[in-house]
Amino acid sequence: MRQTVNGLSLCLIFFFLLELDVQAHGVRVFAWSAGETIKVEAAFRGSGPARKAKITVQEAESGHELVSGLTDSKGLFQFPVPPQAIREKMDLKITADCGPGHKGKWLLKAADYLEMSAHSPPLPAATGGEQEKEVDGGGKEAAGPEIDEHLIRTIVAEELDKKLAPLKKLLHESLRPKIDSRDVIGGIGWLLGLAGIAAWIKNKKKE
Amino acid sequence: MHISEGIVSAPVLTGGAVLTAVGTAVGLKKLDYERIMTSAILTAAFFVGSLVHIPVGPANVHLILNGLIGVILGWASFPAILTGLFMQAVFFQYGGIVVLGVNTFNMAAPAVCSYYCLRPWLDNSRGKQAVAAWLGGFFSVFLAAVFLALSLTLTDEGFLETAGILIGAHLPVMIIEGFVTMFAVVFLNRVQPEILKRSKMSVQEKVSRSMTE
Repeated sequence: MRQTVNGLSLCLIFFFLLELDVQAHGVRVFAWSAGETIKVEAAFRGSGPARKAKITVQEAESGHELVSGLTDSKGLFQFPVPPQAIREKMDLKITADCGPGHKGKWLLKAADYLEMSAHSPPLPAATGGEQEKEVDGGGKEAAGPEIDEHLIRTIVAEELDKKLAPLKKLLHESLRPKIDSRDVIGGIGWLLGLAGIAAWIKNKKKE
Repeated sequence: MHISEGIVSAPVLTGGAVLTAVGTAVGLKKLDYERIMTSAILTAAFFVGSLVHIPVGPANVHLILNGLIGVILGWASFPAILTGLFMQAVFFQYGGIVVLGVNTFNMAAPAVCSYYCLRPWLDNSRGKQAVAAWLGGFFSVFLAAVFLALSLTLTDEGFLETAGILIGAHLPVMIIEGFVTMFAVVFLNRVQPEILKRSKMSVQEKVSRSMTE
């Protein structure tokens, strides 16, 4: 018996060594808005990105499909905010399907992306042009305040986006449940404990 | 290999849970005192083995080790795999508590099958034993993929297509698992042959015990 335990423990140590490549496979989906686009990242719990996973964007209530596509090699997928979604202030249900039995989803509330995109749609036309005028004309006072407000809003939004991007990334990295060696050792401890309890009960019955 | 929560329908969940409950009851009944530690250590190997990943296509596949558990433990594979999967669900968020029944059945039923089909071969010469162990590892994963496809089919997806994808994705695991099971069995046979010849010895023990009583 002791030899068996020794042998099997050796096998366990072997697995510990292999455990370096830790990747689990529950699918975690994270979506955030970046200006006029929504970015989606799909990853397997642990560390690996979910490559070529099918992303489906649906209206949360009706399940009506708005956008679909595949993730790239980094597990990323991005799409422009659908105009319909902005109009109707839809909550978006984003699902990643990574083959049979592996799915994950994320609910992106309308408020989360509308704030960003609400200012954006009129801007590309307005700002692009106005910006040049500003430079050329040296700022005409008549059209000043309103345009400036738009312009400032965009610039601030863009800058904030840039500044906040690493923070968002960090936040969503921290949402990623990593598999810790503590979990592994804890789990094995539990199993041995359960075996002890089982042995004790069986032994009692024997007596 | 683990089905996540919210994928299979309620009847499949219930069916899986009932079958697992029956299998676990039989397994616990057949699990005798001397094998408890062996079961626990094999369960620990199952628990940790799932962290060894082989990246294939979009879905990650990992070692399952249900073949190794099957050929050594027989019916006790049910409680062993149930416990292992429970731990994985709690610690690693693999599968889930609701789908525990289905997942356990999918992995433990092939283990019991390989016990009945291949166990007699394990008492043979070393060569035959190695082949039988390899087949045990290979077919347990193969059958588990078939069962997995079946449980997904009973929910919505087409069987042949799903089974094809799953078997294809798990082919590398089947081969690797065959070798892992083979080396484990050959190793155990060298250091502790009684663990593999258990069934025969227990019969002898029972006879000798009944005679002394």
